[in-house]
Amino acid sequence: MSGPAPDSGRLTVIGVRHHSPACAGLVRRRIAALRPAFVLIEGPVDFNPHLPDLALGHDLPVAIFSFRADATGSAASYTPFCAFSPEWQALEAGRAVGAQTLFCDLPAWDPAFGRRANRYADPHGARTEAAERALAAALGVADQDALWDVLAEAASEAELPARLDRYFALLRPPGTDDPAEAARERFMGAYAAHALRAAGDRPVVLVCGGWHADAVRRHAAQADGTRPEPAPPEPDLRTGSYVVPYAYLRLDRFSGYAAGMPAPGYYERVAEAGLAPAADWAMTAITAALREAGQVVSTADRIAWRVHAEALARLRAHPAILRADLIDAALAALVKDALDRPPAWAAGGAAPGHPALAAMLRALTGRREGRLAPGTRQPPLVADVAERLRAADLEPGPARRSIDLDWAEPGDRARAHLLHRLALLGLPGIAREGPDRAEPGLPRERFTLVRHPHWLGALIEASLWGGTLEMAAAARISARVEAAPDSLAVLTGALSDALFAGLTLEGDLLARLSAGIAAAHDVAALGAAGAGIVRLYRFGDAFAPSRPALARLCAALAARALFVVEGIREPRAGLGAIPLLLACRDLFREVGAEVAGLDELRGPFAAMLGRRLADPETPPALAGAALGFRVACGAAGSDPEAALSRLRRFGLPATLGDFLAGLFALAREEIAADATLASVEGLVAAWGDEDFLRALPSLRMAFAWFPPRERERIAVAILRRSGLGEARAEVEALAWMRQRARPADQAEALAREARVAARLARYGLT
Amino acid sequence: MAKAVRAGGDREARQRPPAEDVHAAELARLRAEDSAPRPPGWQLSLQAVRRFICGDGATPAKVVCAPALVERAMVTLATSRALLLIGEPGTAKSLLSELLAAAISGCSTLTIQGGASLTEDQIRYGWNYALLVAEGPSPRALVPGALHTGLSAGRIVRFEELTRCPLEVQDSLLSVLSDRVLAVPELTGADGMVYARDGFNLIATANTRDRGVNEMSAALKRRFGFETVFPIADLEAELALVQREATALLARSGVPRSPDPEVLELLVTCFRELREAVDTEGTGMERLSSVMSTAEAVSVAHAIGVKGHFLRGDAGQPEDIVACLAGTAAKDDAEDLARLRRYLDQRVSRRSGAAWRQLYAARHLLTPQ
Repeated sequence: MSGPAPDSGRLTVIGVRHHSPACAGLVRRRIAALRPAFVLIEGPVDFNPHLPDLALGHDLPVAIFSFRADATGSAASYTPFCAFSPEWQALEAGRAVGAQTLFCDLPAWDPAFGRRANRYADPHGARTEAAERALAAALGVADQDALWDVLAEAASEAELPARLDRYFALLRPPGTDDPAEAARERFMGAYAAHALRAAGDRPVVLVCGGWHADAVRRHAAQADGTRPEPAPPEPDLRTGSYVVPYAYLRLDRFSGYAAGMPAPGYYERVAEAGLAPAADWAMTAITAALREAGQVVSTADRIAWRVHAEALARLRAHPAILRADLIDAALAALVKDALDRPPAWAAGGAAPGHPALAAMLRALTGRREGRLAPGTRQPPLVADVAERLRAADLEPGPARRSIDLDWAEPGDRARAHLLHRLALLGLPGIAREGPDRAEPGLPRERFTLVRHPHWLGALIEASLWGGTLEMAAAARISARVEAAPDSLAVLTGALSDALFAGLTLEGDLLARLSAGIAAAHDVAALGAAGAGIVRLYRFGDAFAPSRPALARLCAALAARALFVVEGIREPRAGLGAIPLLLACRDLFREVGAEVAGLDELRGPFAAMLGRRLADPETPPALAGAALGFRVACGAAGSDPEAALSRLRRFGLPATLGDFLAGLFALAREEIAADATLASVEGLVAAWGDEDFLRALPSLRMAFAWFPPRERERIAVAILRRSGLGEARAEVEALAWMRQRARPADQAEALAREARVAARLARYGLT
Repeated sequence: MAKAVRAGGDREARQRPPAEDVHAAELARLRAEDSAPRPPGWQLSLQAVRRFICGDGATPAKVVCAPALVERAMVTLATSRALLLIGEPGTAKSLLSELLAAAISGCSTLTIQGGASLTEDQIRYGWNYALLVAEGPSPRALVPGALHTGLSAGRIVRFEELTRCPLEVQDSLLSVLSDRVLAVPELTGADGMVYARDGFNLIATANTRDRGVNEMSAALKRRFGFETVFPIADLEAELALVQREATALLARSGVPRSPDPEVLELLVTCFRELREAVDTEGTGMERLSSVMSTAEAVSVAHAIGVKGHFLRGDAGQPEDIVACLAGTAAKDDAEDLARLRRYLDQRVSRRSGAAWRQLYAARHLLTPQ
């Protein structure tokens, strides 16, 4: 195996593991010793003009958030820094020695950069995995992270550079090319060559992932020294790079098998104070976390844990207690259970095997959250949102405030649009409290608003969607539609959100919706979409500019329903058709002539339902709904008396409940005369107990269409018919309405009693 | 000679010699080479024990498990807690405990076999009643149990299947494990207290299928360090282990040939799939409730080899697997037989390769004739 290419004279390439304290220390010492003219760092080159932003005195961790967005979609990429990141130390050390400090990697929008969410995720293939496994086995450690600790974090300053070189050479043999990374490495190499030329006879330091170091050296030796320019972004591509606050929790979540170090909370202490004090901190942090979770960690346990960890570290010849010793010892001393699966705390996302172990790992992650210094450059969206909130007097404050909005008031509508747009961006601290949007009539809404610590970060990251609030909200909806272009539920949700947010409806969404409605076969999905669309239409002039488009959708809905309902055969589909027929009932009964083309459908629709009603094959729920529809819309030959005769045809235990569910759903007000109920009662009274129990679930479903007050009235009527006095009936009905035991349990009890009675009868014991 | 047979049995004819005898040469070599510090009462340093169990360049590992587990176990034994190995049946818990005891104390035979009928006397000490009646309680009349011997000699005591013992018997360990002393109230003076010498500790094993560790008293739990032993994660490692063990067992049974590698791979693959409920392509499937352990695979491989050699004169056929699987699966649960049938019908039927086809063709053997 040939060794890595040597640093050629003035260029020093330091290959690091991202977020490694040992590497951070190495970078700091090298830069201080070499006092280079340039410090180049693996980071987005397009951020170079804004580098002073990073020196403003932020609370770390922060990240450079880069995005690219065009009509076809968007992508975001992060370049995270914490205080002990080698890249951050390079920035600071470079500034301290007066070097010119620059990022030298491709911008995140460059096609060759690909769609990686984390710039510092080093590639990891089957080969590297095998190499690391072999190395771990040879050194007697369990996983990649433990291996790194033994190799690098526990190494002395003198040994570290040679160990890193050998380690990285093992992962990627020197001289090999990685096609996926070649463009970035060529760019960094060319940038180094350019810096060397500009530096005259002074040295240049380049800090990058260890994976790239050898390739960058090679490319630097071959490059001619002209400054590499990234390909300019395509004309309609929106790009940007901004500093955002970051958090240890997010940093740890990134650390899959490929990326950086786990447990940032722990390594922060390693960087600050060294391995032994970090182990002390970790033991205290883990104990606190376990105790907080209600686990007993006695002083004796802590002593045993400490002894165990020390012994393990000595057995493994570690200079101090390392992270693996710490957790291994905790596993032996603190976990008093059998584990469900082999313990795994290596990076890689596998479940750690025991809840206590998971809690320990969380404790090591730490809770630190970054904060931006005042005066940090922000994307235009931040200013746009701030300006709009101020104009509407809706700025979030430290205390949560409620905002009540009435869509009947034009002033409130503008505020509602604003709040809905913010909610679409998923900004923290803003929430819509209600009411349920299914209520008819113009909605009243309540939002709550509070200044959330993550507000600014989320808003900067939302600028991925657009430069203004309106643009960002619209892009958010488009992305949702793109993700599920054939789902009626998603499309209707998007339509509703767009209308509430006061966004112009895009032709694309409407075209997709009409096409989706025209091709729909799933009755339940069509019904849910139809209910949503009809409700939006019935809000009237709240959505005035979009009313013609909504009317066209309504007409398409009725036409499709006419076709779909004709073909329903399955009993389940019959029940599923109820919401669709409800939507159609509202359309024909209340919208009618307003919508072009609807009146022409009225006759055929009623006729179709008449056919279905006469057809003996029609599922009972659909027959009930068809009858209800005709009664509610006043079709010829359909009056409540006709309903009574139909009722008898469906009066069997297997069909009555479904039939009534359809009927009550569509024509509750028209049909709920006592005559109908008395006839239902008559039918049910003729059944045996077993039949009744079989029919009970569907009957309950049918009567669920009545609001509680009406159900109580029905109960009173039934009790009166059974001979109770008025006062008594009311008391009894109230008791029925306020039952403690679940009806299902009561039915079960009845069934058991019946079985007992049958058995007693069999043995002649009654 | 006659004395030797009485005392330890004829060494050549013993069915299963203890680990310290089997690996006597290796232990002696390790002791000679060992220069690292040893915990008091230990015959080897921790590093040497690790080399003995996990192997080094020259010798293979004796147990397939994570080195970290062995390290934790040793450290637990070297500190003040006892060790409890928990796991599914057949995951080499007892083997690991035997190897640890052999390496640490040079003696793995101070063993208490747990069970529902175990009493305190069998653990601690009993009496030679003839002497007791004749002389009254005296050290001569006392018959030391494993715990008594372990304490006074400073050795590791093994307690197999701890959770199968009645709770009160389990709790008789409490005072010994915390105060490291066993009181013999019948004796007076120095004989009345047996203090633990350096090197004494306890390795218990418990089985997750039996009454679990959940029923152990919290007081006893506190005195143990828990280690869960898992089935072997790696197919190659398990295959190699089954091959090695089955060959050794076959040799002892007078079968000169080693098992057919193809049949063995089939067997181990079946066992792994049925145990983990995931087939080799990663698709989920039904889990057998019977124990499909590596130990069980070894004994099935042994049975197949014996059957093939003595009945037909070959090294075993794939269809023998079906017959043995039926026996294994029907041990615990009749429903497992149906699961096994579905496994053969749904998974094995789709596999290519002559051995898999043969296995599938023999599925009628699942139905008793």
